[in-house]
Amino acid sequence: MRRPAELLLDREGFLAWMIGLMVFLAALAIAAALAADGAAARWARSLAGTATVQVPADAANKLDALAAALRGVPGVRQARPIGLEETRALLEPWLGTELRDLPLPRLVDLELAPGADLAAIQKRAAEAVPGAVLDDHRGWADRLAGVATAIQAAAIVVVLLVAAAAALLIVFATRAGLEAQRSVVELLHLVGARDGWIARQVERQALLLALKGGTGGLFLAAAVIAATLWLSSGDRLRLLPQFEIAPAAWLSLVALPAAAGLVAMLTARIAVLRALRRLP
Amino acid sequence: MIRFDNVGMRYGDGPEVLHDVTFELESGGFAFLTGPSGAGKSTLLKLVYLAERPTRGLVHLLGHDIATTPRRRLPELRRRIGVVFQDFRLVDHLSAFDNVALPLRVAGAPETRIREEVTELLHWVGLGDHMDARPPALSGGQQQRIAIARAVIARPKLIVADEPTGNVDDKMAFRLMRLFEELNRHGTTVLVATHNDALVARFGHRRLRLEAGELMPERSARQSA
Repeated sequence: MRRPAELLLDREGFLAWMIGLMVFLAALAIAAALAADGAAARWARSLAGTATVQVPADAANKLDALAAALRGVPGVRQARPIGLEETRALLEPWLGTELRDLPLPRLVDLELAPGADLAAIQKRAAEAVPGAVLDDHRGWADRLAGVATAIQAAAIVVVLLVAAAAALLIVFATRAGLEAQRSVVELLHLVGARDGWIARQVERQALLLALKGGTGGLFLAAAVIAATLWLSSGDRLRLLPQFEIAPAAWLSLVALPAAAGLVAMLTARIAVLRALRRLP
Repeated sequence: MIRFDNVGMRYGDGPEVLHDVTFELESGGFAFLTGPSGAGKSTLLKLVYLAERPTRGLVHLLGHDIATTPRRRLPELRRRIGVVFQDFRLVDHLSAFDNVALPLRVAGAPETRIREEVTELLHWVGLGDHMDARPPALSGGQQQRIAIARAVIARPKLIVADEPTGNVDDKMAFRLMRLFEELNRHGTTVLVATHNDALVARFGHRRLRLEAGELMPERSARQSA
């Protein structure tokens, strides 16, 4: 049978629970930050490399010729004229079906290679159809990038706050555990234990407790994150935006219990050495 | 073994609780430390078992001047001193066996030796059937015997006991003193603080009497009685 440790840092199991809770919160905050980062990257990717050429309604018959002309411009990978029915379908949510005879501007959808010359595309479009206008979505892209940056910054601030709160709580809980064991620490000191020996007993326990609590918190957080990812994928819950976390990013979550363990271990060591230094 | 030269002691900014205490206890000696409550007995013992350092004066212990001994050397000295605390200071979550084993574990003794010696000593103090019991489940007398076993397990050169008979009946007190005498016969120096004048008179060892922090001129125990 394994013998009990001389110093019991967490007799009530309070420390392990608190560390578990803080790791749970930190994991959720990090997952949110990672998901925001992923969403921002996806938005940027989806907007990069696309553009639209808009043609006045009365030039609709020149749409195919315009698309053919644009395909010849270096950097244009694909130019697809959007048919009248598809254009009506795009506007239907806003205009309804009552105004089907309204003259609609027509569109050519472009897929561009990185670094495509937008000025050359605009020039060729205007030559082919006077009044054609190139829309490279830059306004949208800039706004979306701004929103994504704001979400990422907020997520980072939340992660930092949760991490700081977690570290502080671990510090206080470890010190409270040590305070409760002060008489045992003094006894060990008086029977000839060296400071390093006592510190090792305490830090080993703090590490094990933090790993135990932290792993529990991480598993719980992983379950919540997995459920959120599942609900946000496909059409299961349309209210949730689609979340994705890259497999490599999961590794940063796995490191959380170890980080909590390290904080607890160092706190315990520093606290016990400081307490012992007061003794002769 | 123990030498105090004009030792004074105060806690923080408080009043001096020991004044100019001077005495010597030779190696292999046995002495009682007596005096009324608040006389400074516990403080003097704390200086002996290195829980405190004196505010002034010189304390020589086991051949070392405590004032000049570096802090990192003190654990070695403490391992040569066995202490029986007034409140026993047993660790409640450890078994009787593990409580007694503490000084050996702290000193890095191998587990086989610990198993052998602790088992033997617990049988010797009559607690062979209670090795796995936690202190709260034991009587005051049994707890006291564990405290004594812990104090002697590492074969210390010096045993310091603070009111070791304070919580036991006369019969048990007599048996404990016999145990200390037995250890003393094997060469261990013993210093026992006690209120129990009858016990001091009965065993007839040297008596150091403290009153209001000052050591009184010595008389033999039988004279004092």
